[in-house]
Amino acid sequence: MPEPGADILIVAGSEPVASTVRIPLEEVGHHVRVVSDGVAALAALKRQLPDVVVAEWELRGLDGRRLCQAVRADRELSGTHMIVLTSAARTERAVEALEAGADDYLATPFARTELLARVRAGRRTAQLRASEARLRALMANVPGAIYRCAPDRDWTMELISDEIERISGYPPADFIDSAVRTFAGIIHSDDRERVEDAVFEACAAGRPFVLEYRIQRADRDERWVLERGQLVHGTNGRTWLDGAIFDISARRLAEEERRGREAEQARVVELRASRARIIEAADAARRRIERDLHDGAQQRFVAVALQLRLLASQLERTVPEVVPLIKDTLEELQRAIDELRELARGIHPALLSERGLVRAVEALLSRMLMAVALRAPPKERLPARVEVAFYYLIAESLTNACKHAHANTVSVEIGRANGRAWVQVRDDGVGGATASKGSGLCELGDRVEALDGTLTVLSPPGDGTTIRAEVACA
Amino acid sequence: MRLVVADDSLLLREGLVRLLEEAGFEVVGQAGDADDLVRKVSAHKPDVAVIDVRMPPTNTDDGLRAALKIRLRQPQIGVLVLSAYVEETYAQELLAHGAAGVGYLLKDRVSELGRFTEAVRRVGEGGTVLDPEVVTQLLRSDRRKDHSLVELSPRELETLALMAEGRSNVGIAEQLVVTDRAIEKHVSNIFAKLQLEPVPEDHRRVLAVLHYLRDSSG
Repeated sequence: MPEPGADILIVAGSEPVASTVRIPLEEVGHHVRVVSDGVAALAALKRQLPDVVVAEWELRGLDGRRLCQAVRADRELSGTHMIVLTSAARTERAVEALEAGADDYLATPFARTELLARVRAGRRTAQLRASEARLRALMANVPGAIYRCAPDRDWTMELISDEIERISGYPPADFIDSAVRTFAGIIHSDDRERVEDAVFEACAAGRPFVLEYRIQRADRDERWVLERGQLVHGTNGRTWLDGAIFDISARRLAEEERRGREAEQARVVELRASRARIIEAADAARRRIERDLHDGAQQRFVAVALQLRLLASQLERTVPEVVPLIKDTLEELQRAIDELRELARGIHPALLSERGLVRAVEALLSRMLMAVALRAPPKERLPARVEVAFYYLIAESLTNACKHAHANTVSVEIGRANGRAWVQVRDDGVGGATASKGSGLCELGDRVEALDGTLTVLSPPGDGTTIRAEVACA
Repeated sequence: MRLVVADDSLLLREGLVRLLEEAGFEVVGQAGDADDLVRKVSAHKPDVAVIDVRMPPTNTDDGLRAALKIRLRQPQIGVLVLSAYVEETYAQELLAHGAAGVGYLLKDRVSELGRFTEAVRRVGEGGTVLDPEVVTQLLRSDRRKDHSLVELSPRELETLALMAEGRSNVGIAEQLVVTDRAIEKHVSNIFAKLQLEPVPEDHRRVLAVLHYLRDSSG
């Protein structure tokens, strides 16, 4: 299959020479431009880079030597393939030309077939050079270290791009042929075996591999890298690994932070849930104890009192002298019944679940000797858990106000608005209350927090105490 | 006088029945839960149903709810509610549709035989009996509200509590071991302090007091 024509620039001082080169090339389909001196040649090169330049050695102004030197010195032009025409009589010119940077020479007079063959070869070289340049540019610009290495345990590098220095802190030359260090040597010792196993396994299966592992940098820092690569089979049975290594430390760090945050959040949620479960279990136990007392001991005591009473009324006729003893016993029993009632009510007020927070608090206040103002009771009932928490908060705060704060006036406020419910107990006592560990207030704080709410205690010494709990309440 | 007795504790129920029968009442039905109670009251139409607040099925305030139901459907039947705790709220609910034939007592009062049987009789006759504890609570919660400024003396409080039990001046005087005259003075003081017109009938006095307290505490 004929190749499409190559771009060729002919630099020839005389028309006959130019024609002997131009005509055969045009006949096979190449695109040919002709200039007559070195300066014009440089201008034409800059305008459009040809695949091959065929230039006379003897030129006016800028001669072949200086043209070659100028082309090699210019980064943009250096890829072009230079063929110099030299006289067959003067072979030393060929050596001079090659030393000046020419890629090839053609001795005049030349055979047509030789010209075409040299141009074809030159074009191939130019293409190869261009693709290598592209590869180099790519390697320099990829945000990772591109490598080719032997599939051995040292990962002996044949080539590795400069990026490896940014990643590892070691220059690429250190790794080439394992001259200073092996690449395996900078892999974190905990990860080395895993990396080796994974690479060999992928190679054996003919699959590409993607690995994340740690390396130790020159400054002893640890970095996370991601490596992609695969085994390549070359001609003549040679094999090697081609791949790229990327620094992913920032991503790993972000991921670890995110995982840490998520774990922390999960812990907080679980802690709150477990606290709520504990409190709920304790409340259920309180309800059960109250019920057991009510159905058991309280009922039984009343029944016993009743029977003693009946016994006394019968004995009054037959053995009246024992009646006072029975009456004393009955009085004692009545005290026990009273104490038991107060105990059971303190453990769990039945009214709280039956008629709600406001009624239970009213009942609590009606049993107190101190005058307590109750304000703004909400009309609807609050969720059971909130009512229980608020009830105990009020009960504990009132106990504190009476027992410790020596308060004269106390007010209780229960409110609900804008998706929040709150309770506030304020007294004019001595202040200085703290929610220290193990205190009643601390326990109340736990209760409120379990509802995802907040408890605030404002109790400056000598200036009363305000205890406020607020929870979300749709 | 014919009674239905409802209490889920068999021991206590048997004791109550024996006590009431010895006192001359006729117990025509016994119930162990609220539904059973409502059925037996409908069937027997007793003069009074003696009811424990906490009963099956839910073991919360089923007895009270049954009592309210009976009050609505058969207002001529008296209800005497017994409870391990006396709650102002329950008293108000019981009295919401009138105070005739309503009683509300702490459960352990049943062992004070004379007082208890007297209470049953009074409720059966259309009277009102409230536990002294209820009166104390009502007064306390009334005192919490600044508008009334009720300051009853201890003696007046005792008198009021006995008035709430539906007793006459003579009955109160006997109970407190003072003269009728002294009680009359206390009563008129109470009415003056509560800004109430004195009325002659016993249970009307209770009603007046309770209405006043209920209005101010509601």
